[in-house]
Order: sequence, then C-alpha cells, then structure tokens
Amino acid sequence: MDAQIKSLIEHLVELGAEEQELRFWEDIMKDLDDADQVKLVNLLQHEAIQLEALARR
Amino acid sequence: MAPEKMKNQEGIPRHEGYRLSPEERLLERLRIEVESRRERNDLLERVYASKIGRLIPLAYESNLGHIIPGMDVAKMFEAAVEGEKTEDEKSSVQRRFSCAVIAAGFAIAWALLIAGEREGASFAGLVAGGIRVMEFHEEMIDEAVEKAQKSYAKVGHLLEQARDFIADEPQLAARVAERVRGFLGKGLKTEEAL
Repeated sequence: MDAQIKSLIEHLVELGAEEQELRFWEDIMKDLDDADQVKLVNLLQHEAIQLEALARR
Repeated sequence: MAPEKMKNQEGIPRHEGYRLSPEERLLERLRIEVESRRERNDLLERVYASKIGRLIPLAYESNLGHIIPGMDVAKMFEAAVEGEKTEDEKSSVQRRFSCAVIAAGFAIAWALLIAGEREGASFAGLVAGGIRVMEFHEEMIDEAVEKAQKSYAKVGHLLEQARDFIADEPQLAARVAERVRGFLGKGLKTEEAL
C-alpha cells in the first residue's frame, strides 16, 4: 500500500498537482490504518483520473 | 440529457470531446484541486479525531500546559474535544477539533515530544506533518480563527493565542516540527530528543 500511495503521489506531481500538500500525505501514510490508507488511495486515484482527463481536453 | 446537465458548475461542458479554452482549463484545474483537497482534509480530520481521545489524559498528566508561553495544551485538548456544553456544540465536536488542531498543532507536537509516549509520539508525527501543511496555508489559520470566534468563543480565544504565537515564532514552530519528525524517523524514544 505504501508503494502504491507513493507512486500515485509521484504521478499526481507529474500531472501538475500541488506537491507540498501531497508530500505531507506521503509522510503520514504510515500513521494511517489500513482502511484510511485505502481511502487515501481512492482519493488520490480519483484526482489523478480527473487531471488525466483534463490533460486530454 | 438536458444541455445544462452536461455542464459543470462553471458552465464548462463535461464531455471530453469539447476543447477547453485556457481560461476554462484553469477553472477546471482549480475545481479539481479544491475538491480533492477538501476530501483529503475530511480524511485528515477523521484521523485526528479518532486518535485525540487517548491523548487528553496524557496532556493533563504531563502538566506541560504552559511550556510554551501563552499556550495551554491541555486546555486546547479540552476545548477542542469537549467544547462547550450546549447540544449544538456537542454535535459539532469534529468541526471544532479540526479548527483547533490546525492552529495548535505545533503546541501539541511539542507536548507529546516531551511526554515521551510511544503512542503519543506516533501521533506527534502526524501533527508535525500537519504543521508543514499549515506553514504553506496561512489562510487556513485565519479562517479557522474567524470561524471559531464566531461560533465557539472558548476555542476562539485559544486559537487567537495560537495564531499570535505562530505569527511571532514561525521558525520555532517549524523547528519543533522538524525535531519531532527527525527523532521519530530514527526510531528513538522521544525523551532522548531532550
């Protein structure tokens, strides 16, 4: 899960999302329980999908 | 589908075939960023709220309320979680806590560092991380204070102190955060940090 979150954050940064706020989540992800990590992954994936769609327009 | 249902709130067509103007592209990006951050903040608020209950006794037992001039960490915990006694305020504990922990995060991190509790130390890492976010979003502090002053007099007073301290000692706040994070990262007991 950690690797997935890190990978998503890197992808979002590449897509132009604000890096500082995302790095914060990378730092604290170890303090999240499994359910919250899944929730975070879903949120990051959702933002990535939206930014990818925007890039195609 | 009715034409208006194919547009977002800014009136931008939703379908990918539509070519966005630069202005529309900027608006859409801002919308995505604001919405995404709001959802992540909701998650952060819930994470904080689920952990804070166990830390109230620690804050009291450590008797570290006045270690930072003008700030009472124990009272901040109490105000944030217990709040006033009216039903309306009880129902908005999570929102009040969210405001308080944003503005007072560095003080909480400091208290837990000195308390030397492993469990507390883990939470301190979380709070210290929040300080970095706060550092780059000063408007959040003003907004939190403004909301608290209007709705929750008790917390508003504490947040005013926190805001003033942050304004006066931003470097100290940042150093505290980094110190906590540094020792946690090395896996040392927090008392060794002193």
